[in-house]
Amino acid sequence: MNWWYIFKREVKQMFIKDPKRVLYLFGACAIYILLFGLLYGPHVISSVPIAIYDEDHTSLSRSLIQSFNDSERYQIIAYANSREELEYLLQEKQALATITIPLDFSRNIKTGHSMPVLVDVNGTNLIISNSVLSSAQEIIQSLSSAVATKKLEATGQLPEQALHRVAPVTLGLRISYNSTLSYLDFFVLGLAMAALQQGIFLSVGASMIYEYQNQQDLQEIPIPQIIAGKLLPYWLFGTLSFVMALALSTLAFQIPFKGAFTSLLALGTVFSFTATALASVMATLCRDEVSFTQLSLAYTVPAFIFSGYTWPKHSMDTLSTAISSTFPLTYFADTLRDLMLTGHAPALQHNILILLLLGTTLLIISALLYKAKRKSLSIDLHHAP
Amino acid sequence: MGLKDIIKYECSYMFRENPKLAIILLGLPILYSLLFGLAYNGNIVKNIPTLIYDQDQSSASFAFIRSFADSERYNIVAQVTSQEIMEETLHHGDAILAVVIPPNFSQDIKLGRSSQVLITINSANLMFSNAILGSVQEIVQTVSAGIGQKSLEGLSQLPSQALSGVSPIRLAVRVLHNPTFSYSNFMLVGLGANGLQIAIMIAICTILAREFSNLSPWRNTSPLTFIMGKLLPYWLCSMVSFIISLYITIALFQVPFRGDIGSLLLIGSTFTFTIITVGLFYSAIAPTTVYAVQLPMLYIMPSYLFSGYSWPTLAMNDFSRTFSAFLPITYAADSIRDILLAGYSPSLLTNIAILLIFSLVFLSLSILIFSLRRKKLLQSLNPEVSL
Repeated sequence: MNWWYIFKREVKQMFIKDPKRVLYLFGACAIYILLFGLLYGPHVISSVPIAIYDEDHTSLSRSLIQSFNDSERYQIIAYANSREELEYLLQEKQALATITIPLDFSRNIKTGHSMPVLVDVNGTNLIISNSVLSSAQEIIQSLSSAVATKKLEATGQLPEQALHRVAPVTLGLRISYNSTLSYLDFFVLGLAMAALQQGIFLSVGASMIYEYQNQQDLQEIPIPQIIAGKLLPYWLFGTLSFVMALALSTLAFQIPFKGAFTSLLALGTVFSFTATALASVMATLCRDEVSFTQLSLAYTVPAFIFSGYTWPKHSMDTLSTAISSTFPLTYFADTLRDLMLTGHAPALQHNILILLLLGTTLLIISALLYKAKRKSLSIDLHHAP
Repeated sequence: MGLKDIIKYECSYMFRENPKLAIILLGLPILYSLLFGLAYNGNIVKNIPTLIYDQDQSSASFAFIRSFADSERYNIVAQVTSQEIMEETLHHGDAILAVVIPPNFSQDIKLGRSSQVLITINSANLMFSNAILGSVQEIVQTVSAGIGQKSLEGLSQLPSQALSGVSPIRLAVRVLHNPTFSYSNFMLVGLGANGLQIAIMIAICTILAREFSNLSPWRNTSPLTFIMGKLLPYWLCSMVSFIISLYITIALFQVPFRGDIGSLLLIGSTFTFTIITVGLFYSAIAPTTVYAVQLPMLYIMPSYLFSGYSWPTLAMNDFSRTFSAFLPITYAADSIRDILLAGYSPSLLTNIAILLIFSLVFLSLSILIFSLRRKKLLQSLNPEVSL
């Protein structure tokens, strides 16, 4: 009996004896891609319900309303007749933003005053308030320039000259890598990788705990052989699951695939290795599969939040950064997105190295723990009547 | 055996026999609140590494750069001298955005030609791009209006007249409830609710599953009494967790609390009760305790993101909206945030009613399934007992 025997035994176990292991390994991350691919399918927020209170009723105010109406970002759900009605709509969340055009708006502008357009946004959901803020700025700005240009033209300036005077500095914006600011491209990969990690955890956990509960099976075999034979299949299939996840996200949801396949494969392979080793350590610390599952479920969300995948590491304080650096996902998810979207991840080598070190350390710890646990379990066994 | 005995039995189980349950239920949500509060302690994305490529080197361009230097949102990490270095630095991730001021910037403006400032953003992480987009427009607009005003003053207009000449329409934005765009105000409540439901689920899912192997002491107790007795201690504990973790969020991480405690407790208790009945249901249907803890995962893990709490319902397609409608957290997290930030949740009563319907359905299903399984098990045990 050697590691190859255990390897074959393990593959048989995961596919036939306890097929939920292979299901977790491949299913968790595929389901996540499908679910969140569908959730973030619209890519960006559009049709935010807004209400308008036009106190002015002039052609200028109407053209302002028209520009909001033309924008896909907004959907005008009501024209209010009073301030109270507007506030009511906002308070009841029937409208998430309101636009007030003040009395004498048009007349004051004609007589050379600057007039505000009042936009009230419900700020509770940042995704909505961010989206409203930047698009409202754009709409108002372009209308303002148009009006200013017209007024200067009336004083006898050439149209082009007038435009330059009112907008001497313009903004050229180049948004690289995720130019439509799509949430799908931003979010789905990382969520899928959190699920991949979970799948690896649950299957490796089930496998290791089975061994602790059936000590007699492999009693005579040296520990390095056991660990190698048992963990290798999960490492390999975990990597395969990673590759399939990338294929699925690119083919089904058109997530850009810009990085070199070899870099992606290298990253996925070491992550799968580290996650396997971590799961093996965690399994040794747990009494049974129920406790292991509870631990790994509790682990998932903080690991994702602290990974820097959404809230950037850059904005974390020292303590949070320290916590963040203990999760393997931190060295993986953000780097993977960089590779996929930009084709280049500055921290790639650095992160691969850290994952490799982390994984190797965890593997050694898990072998030592296995040894200790085997000893204590065999003592129990001998003492049993 | 009455309700009291079962409550006593369950309490002694969760606190003495298997204290891990009490630790999960009381400890995990609190730990989550502390951890996530810590993660988002920065509140807004600040000091974004910024690159300047000033091809003009004039006083006008310096003034423009200063407006970036003055904003705490940006942190100028380098001034570069060529397009290649700029691209390279961006590519290497040493800067998230680059500001390019074209040659003849100041001259073009003086001569009445407009000049374009080019801003490149690395948008791989939307957190950065969202933070940049809002403020960059404002900065450029302010600078532009200032210069435009001067130029019109040159045409012998009065300063105020000149300003309204260049920007006749202003945007006055009032962001209600979260004016600083604070990330912890936005996220913590929902993550807390999610942490609570994870804790409840992983603690409670074994509650019935473990009884199937040990039915005899309770064989004469009605399923309703039995289940209620088991459920009440968990409900009480999860309410304690709910209150403590909210308190941490408010007191320690300065999330505003503008609503009233009554509504908060009402929605909190309905939500925790619903999650407990969902956990019971899983526990009743699961073939083994391992499945009882693994099955709910399918349900809990995606539920937070589908709840409409961050990605809003209005942007969901039919599939997501339907899925979302079947998740209890959909009716709780957003309402709790509304109560905290806005002081009022318009859909509070509807949401509570829906949650109550959910919990009634899951409770009756659990009781039904439990009593059927118990009957079957006792029947199969009976021959042995009579021997």
